Amino acid sequence: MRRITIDPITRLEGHGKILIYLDEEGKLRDAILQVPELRGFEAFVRGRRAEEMPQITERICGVCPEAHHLASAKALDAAFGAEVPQPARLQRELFYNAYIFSDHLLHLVFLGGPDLLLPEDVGKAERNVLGVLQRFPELGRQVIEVRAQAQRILALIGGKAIHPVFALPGGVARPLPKEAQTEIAAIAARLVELGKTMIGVFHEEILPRPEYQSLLLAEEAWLPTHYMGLVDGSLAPNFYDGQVRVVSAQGAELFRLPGDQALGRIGEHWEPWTYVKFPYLRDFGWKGLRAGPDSGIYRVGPLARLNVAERMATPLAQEEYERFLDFFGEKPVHATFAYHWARLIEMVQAAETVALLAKDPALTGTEVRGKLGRPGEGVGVVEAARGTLFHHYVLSPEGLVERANLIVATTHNAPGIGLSVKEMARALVEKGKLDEALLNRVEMAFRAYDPCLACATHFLPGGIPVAVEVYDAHGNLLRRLEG
Amino acid sequence: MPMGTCSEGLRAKAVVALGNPDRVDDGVALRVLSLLSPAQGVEFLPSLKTGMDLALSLLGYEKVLVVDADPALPPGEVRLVPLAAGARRTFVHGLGLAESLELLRGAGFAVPEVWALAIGVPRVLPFGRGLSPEVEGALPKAKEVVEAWLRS
Repeated sequence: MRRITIDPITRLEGHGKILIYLDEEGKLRDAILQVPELRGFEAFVRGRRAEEMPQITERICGVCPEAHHLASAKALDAAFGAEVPQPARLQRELFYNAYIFSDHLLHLVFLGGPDLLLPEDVGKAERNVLGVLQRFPELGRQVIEVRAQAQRILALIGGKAIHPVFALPGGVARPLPKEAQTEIAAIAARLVELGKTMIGVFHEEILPRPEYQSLLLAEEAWLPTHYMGLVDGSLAPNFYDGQVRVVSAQGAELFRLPGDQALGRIGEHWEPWTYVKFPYLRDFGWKGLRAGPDSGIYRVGPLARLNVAERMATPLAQEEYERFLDFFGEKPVHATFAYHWARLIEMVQAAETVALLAKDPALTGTEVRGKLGRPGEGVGVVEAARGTLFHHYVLSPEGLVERANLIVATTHNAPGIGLSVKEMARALVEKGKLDEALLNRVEMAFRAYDPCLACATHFLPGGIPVAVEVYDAHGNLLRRLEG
Repeated sequence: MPMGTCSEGLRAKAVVALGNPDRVDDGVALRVLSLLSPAQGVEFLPSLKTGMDLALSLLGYEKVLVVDADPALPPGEVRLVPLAAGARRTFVHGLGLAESLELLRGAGFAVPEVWALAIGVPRVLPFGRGLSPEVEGALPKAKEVVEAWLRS
């Protein structure tokens, strides 16, 4: 049996790897995803003061501390039975939409950018962020400038651009000054303008390309699963708050519940070959790593949020959402490569939401901290850029952490990522490709989810290299490819 | 957020400490930062984030020293190196710092000269506070190297 290993090396205990197993005839036998786990976290936080959790949990991920910070604060709101006053809620929601905008923008242009913006015939030497910048210099500069402005919003509300320190149980640390509101409103207009530009680029430069359309509609990238995401009262996606809605692979609502009740509908399955727990819907039970209407596997993230929603919350995003649905002609959209387009639509909604909230007179209100009750148990849920994030804490009567459990987006998506990678590898290996094209296509399937395997990794060499190792039937290394 | 160009006034120097104090030796850079005395024209910046977010916050400085834990070095070893762009990163959702700075330079921004002070740490970094004896032992040398870099 031959084995191909795609191995992003990290400093975490346990690597994130894609293992592709071939049989004697060179065909795909199996493909699995191994994901590292934050081992020891629960023991570390046990006995610590609950108020420390928004700071501790944001430090576990150097990529999206904003999501952990607010999921944690919301879990504490619930655990202390605190009502968050409107000005504090507005600050949090505005901050959170600026984060979603910023994160999605980076992914769309610079991380998924080589997949999206560069034609397929662009060689490996150019297929990177610099290649994107060379082809789209003005867009690249505009993106960098506007992203810096979005970071400025995070700093104005969060205290620091690179990790927030503002959310507390029951509210936020301080009222927002009026001059900060004025500055945010001016920046918000630029965010919306860039959103419009990005939609134009997508429809002029990306979508018309036949190879991109064939990618969107590729059979091997069509994965019928259930979907999960937060929605508001009108069933539009809401990144910061709302109810957890789950729809089936056929699009029927399975449940719509507050976070704590939704958590009870999720089971976790263990496999001996990976650290990650595979979540599934209890209504269906665990039926193995396979998709389909009777499987318990569901997906989260941008595509899932658009599939659980009935509309978008803002006008420009709604227009693009309608074009998205027209293109696919069905809902739910099961095309894995549609994650990128969904991300663009969400980015526009986030920009418009920032603009809307920035005008709200209540944003600068001075009542920013609700009264705390007795400590108990609480669940906080937000939509991180990559998908639904649950924080669940049980506190002692003294306000110390007795138990903490986190379900992060990449954990929800681990079964879906594994299946997507497997189907992509199966299609390509059977066509006889066992080269860098295979690596790139498998990576594209993986990257579509924008998975986070790198919680707390940021070491100086700056790279998480990718290697593909090809072994023959006797376990000898035939070839090693590096990304 | 400063978006520096060559013609704008630049702030002098910054020392960035990357790391998570809740993952034992990963917090070594923050300990180094705590040992330094304030100096005119120098800013000390603790950070959890690297990549584009950090790169953007460094625009406007002339020279930057990034201190970080490095599992590629033997624990306790201290090494000062210029930050260089590495291989393409294809499997993450965040760009590396060097890559981000290269990107900013390519887009016409004036980026600082960036050096890295790498401090060797064990490859596996569990949750916990405090440094291992080997890494704790590297603190005096790391402090000395940073101070020499600031004088240069």
